[in-house]
Amino acid sequence: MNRAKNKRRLLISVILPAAVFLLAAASAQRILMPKYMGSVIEGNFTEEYYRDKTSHDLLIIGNCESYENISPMELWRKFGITSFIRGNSNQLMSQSYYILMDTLERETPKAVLLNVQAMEVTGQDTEEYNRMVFDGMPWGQYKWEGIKASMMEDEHMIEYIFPILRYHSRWSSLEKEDFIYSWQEKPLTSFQGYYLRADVRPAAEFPRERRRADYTFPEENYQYLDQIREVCEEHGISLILMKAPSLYPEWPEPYEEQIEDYAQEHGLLYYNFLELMEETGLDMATDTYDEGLHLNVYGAEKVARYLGAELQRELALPDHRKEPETASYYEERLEAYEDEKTCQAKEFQELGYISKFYVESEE
Amino acid sequence: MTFVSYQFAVFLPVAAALFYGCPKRWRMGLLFLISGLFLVLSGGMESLAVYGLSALAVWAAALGVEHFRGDRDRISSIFFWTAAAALLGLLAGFQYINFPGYTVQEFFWLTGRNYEWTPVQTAAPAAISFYTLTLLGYLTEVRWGSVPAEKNPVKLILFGGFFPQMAMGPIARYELLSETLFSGRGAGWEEILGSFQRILWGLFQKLVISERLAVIVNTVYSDYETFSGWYLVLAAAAFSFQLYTDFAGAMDIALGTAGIFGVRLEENFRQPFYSRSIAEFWRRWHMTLGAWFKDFVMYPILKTECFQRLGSWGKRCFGKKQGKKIPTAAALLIVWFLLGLWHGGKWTFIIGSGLYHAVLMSAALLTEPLQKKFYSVTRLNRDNPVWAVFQRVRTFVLVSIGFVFFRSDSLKMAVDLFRGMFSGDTGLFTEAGFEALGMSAADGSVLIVSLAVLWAVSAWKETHRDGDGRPEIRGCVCAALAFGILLFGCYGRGYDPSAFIYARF
Repeated sequence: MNRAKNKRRLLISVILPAAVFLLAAASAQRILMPKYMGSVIEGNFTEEYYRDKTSHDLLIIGNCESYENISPMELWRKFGITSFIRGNSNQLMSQSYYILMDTLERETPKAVLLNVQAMEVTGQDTEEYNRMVFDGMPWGQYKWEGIKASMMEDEHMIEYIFPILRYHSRWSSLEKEDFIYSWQEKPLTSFQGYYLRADVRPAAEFPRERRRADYTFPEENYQYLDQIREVCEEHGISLILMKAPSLYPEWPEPYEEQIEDYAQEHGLLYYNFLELMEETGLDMATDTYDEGLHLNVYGAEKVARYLGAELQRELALPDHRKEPETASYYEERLEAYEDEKTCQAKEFQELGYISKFYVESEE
Repeated sequence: MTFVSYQFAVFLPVAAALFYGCPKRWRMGLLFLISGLFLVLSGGMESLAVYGLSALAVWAAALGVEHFRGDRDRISSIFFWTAAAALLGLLAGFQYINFPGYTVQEFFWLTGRNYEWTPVQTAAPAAISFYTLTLLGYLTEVRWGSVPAEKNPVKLILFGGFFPQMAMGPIARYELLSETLFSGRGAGWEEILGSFQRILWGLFQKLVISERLAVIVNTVYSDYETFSGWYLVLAAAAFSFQLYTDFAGAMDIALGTAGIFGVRLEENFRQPFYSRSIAEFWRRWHMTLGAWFKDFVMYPILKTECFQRLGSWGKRCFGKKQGKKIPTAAALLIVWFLLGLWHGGKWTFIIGSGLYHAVLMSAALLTEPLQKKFYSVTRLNRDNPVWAVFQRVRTFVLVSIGFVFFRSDSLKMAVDLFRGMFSGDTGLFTEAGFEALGMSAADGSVLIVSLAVLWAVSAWKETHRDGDGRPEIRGCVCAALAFGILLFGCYGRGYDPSAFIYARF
């Protein structure tokens, strides 16, 4: 009798409150996690890869130069190439490697296109970028290892495991979207990982970067590049290197030489779009939305057209436009892509800016 | 590793699981190892080495003190004073190396000259101020014969270095702690639940209240020359609450942590802001430190021949009743000087948590006849609730004045702060004025609500015996506290709550 009573008391005093606490904490976590539905939508891109149930022949990885300079929708429209960009702001080489490994657990693309600008980057700028890379990724070996490899000094693994520990202070800045999308699926914000911008801001002069004594890429980045190449070789994937046509940060000659040497040594295709302006037809007076840092959709489509033709010529990537299931998915995304492009273009023409990207900063 | 680190959140449950998973006879040894590991993780191997050697020296000295006590008391005395000098010398070497420099700095300021001492940076071993007193207290008690010398060095090392109490106290007494510390009895689930609640309440005080108050205090004090009037008054009051919630919070975590292992530590706080006099305040604030100084410094001083003579002289000059207070008042000055010095080798500590209070208490002691007269003339009932509130507010104000010294970097800064309080109002009570405190309206609201919770809990504790909560209620309180801390606690990125104010002493 006493034992039963004791058990009941234990249940009421410990187990029940603990269960209530866990439920409340889990609910709070869902609400407090950033939804990235405002002016910064890039935080959704990692997660959106896992929502795409189609397979991809081309995987594009790298930092912002990868997700803002190539349009996968144009690759589809013109060449029937299925692709996804797994890029994030300031995505480090280590992160690109672990993202590739994570992708290989789900599918094996025929080609991997790696934007090499991150080869010069030594460490993460802000913790927020790391969170954008990993928050949307389901837990697994490569998420764990990727976090460990790129975690900043003041970051803690436990804050990735229980994101409420990181985002708890958002309680005072919650918005309507935080509640709506806690339980409801968010609309897709990217187009196969591509960040669409239809505004135009012509290229400007950038400050000259200070000369360095040594332009050699960090050894660690070479190691990850080697690992990416090796794993591609193991899986029979063609690795292609590219430097996007972003005018800043600078891409000095020593960088170019190192990548050219590496590509030559390992027999890799390498495209430096800074040197292919004429071939792609890029005009930095009309094809960039932020003065030459990144391309707008018109520029990204030009790059995609050039790249698609090259990939089909060099690697014979198949045209999937005749496959009904794939075509149906891509046509639907293409329609949304065109709508978004038209909508942004119209707004830009009327206002001179696109409100969803500027409204918060103006406030 | 501190009490408010992620590491501790993992360390404690693992340690508790190991403790309850091993046979009772091994539990003391396990606590010894756990405490050692905690010290290494908190202060590094150097801290472990310094503490281990200090405790071993005290263990050996205490055996010597006991062995030679009585017939060969001189040798016993040599053992005692050698060990005591070594302990105090070590403390002085690490903690007071800058004291002469700061003294010169303050002297120059008092004489109207400018000199700024550049402090010598020393990496003091973790918790040295606290375990020095703990070990010294034990040694003194052995010398007096009030406790037997511990034969087992492991027990003595564990006594001074038991991990929940080592870093910030409470300052342990051997007789009281040894009973539960060495038994390995552990605790039942209801006690563990109560202890867990206590830990959460400590975390709530530290992370939800103290860290928010720190925003106000740090904003104002880091730029005190540009703030004036009510800002400085508010910062002074906020610091009193910050210090209380920081330290009392740490104590709740310490007592709760020890409670999980079935070890009872002494209470260190008892609603100090309910005090109606300074003397009462110090009987409720950092109680174990006050008791230590009373037992091991104050009483021995009063027993010295010099003070006996002072008492006789006082009685001759001021009558029996008033005269016997003279040596007490004089002893108070010495004790509180040392008590202030214990906090650190700065005159701001010596005054702010020492001499200033000694002066107030001595004044209260010596003016007792006047006070009695006041009550008889005014016919004021001492238990009148309005009068009680007045006395509590008065005590709070007086204590906060002391804490202004305590928080200041120098006496000049303290004086500037007091001057600033009376030099105009920069518009605190406006929206822009509030924003200047560096706190958002949302955080301000949380602070007000959590201070109201603190007040309610203090009021409840003042009228209820602690520990009589039903487990069902405790469980709900734990869930609510944990959720409150999780959501409103100041931790993670952008905060540095790891440093408890008293952890540096």
